[in-house]
Amino acid sequence: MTKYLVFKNQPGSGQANVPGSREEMACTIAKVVSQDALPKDFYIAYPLENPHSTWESLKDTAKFSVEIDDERAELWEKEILPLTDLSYAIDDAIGDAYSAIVEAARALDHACEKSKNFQYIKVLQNIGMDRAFDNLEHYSFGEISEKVEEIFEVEIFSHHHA
Amino acid sequence: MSKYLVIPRRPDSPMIHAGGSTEETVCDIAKSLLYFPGPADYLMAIPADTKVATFALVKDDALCSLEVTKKTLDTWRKDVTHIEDAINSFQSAKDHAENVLDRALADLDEAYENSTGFKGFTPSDDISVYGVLEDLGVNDLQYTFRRTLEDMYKFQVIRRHPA
Repeated sequence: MTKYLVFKNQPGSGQANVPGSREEMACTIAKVVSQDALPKDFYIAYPLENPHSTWESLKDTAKFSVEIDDERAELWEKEILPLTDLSYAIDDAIGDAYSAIVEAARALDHACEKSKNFQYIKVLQNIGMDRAFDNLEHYSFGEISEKVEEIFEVEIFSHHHA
Repeated sequence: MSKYLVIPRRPDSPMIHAGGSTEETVCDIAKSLLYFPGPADYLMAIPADTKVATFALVKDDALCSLEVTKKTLDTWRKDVTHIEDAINSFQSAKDHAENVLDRALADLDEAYENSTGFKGFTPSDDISVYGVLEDLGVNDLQYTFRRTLEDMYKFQVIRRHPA
């Protein structure tokens, strides 16, 4: 079992997690727990035993700690990561649907505006786009996030929205 | 104002309305308002004040009647076709969105079901894709548009076409 401390990666630090490493995994876990859409190297992680952690701790406050062992790492790779990808896919599908429907509604409005007899039809004004899409909010990511926090014994220290 | 009856064209009938004629447009209008499933050239338009029209009524052949003027024909050709296309595209965008979301949710449900740590939660239970997108009011829009057309062309159903 290794505890990783996750820090905000300072812009221009030139540091990045090694792809495929446990450090990268710890940062992705932190992002899932925070439920924020953050860029790839927004966080950087170090094992607690690493002297670098102590130095970083002095420089900045750790945002999260994440516990990873082989069993949990395997669970992450085989189960949780595919679930988060599928959950993101739903958010993407909702976003795409919104754009496609707004675009089609605009085209319809345009066709009505150009007509002589159907100018009274105002699609975008009358359809309940925002109401309908508000109801499409899904909660699976929140479920995943809570479970991930529990499984990886994530501790959130402070100001992780820096 | 010219009134027409629209009847089904016999499959063996060699008579086809000339392209761009009033009769051809009347058949297009009738196809749309009747929700006629076949192409418009499976229909024939007959001026209502002719003996053929009377005969069609006696034989119970007539599907509908409608009235056109130069102006309303022009409206159909220039406006309605574009708006119908746009409504269909809008409907397609909604249908496509429903399908994509439904598939994405089904994939997520399956992944949850097959997982060891996440069983017992079914994401699709929280979202009714079909119900939610119905709230967009596409059906109301189609209904309003259709009612306007029915009034404009004084459209009347005489006999339901066979399914």
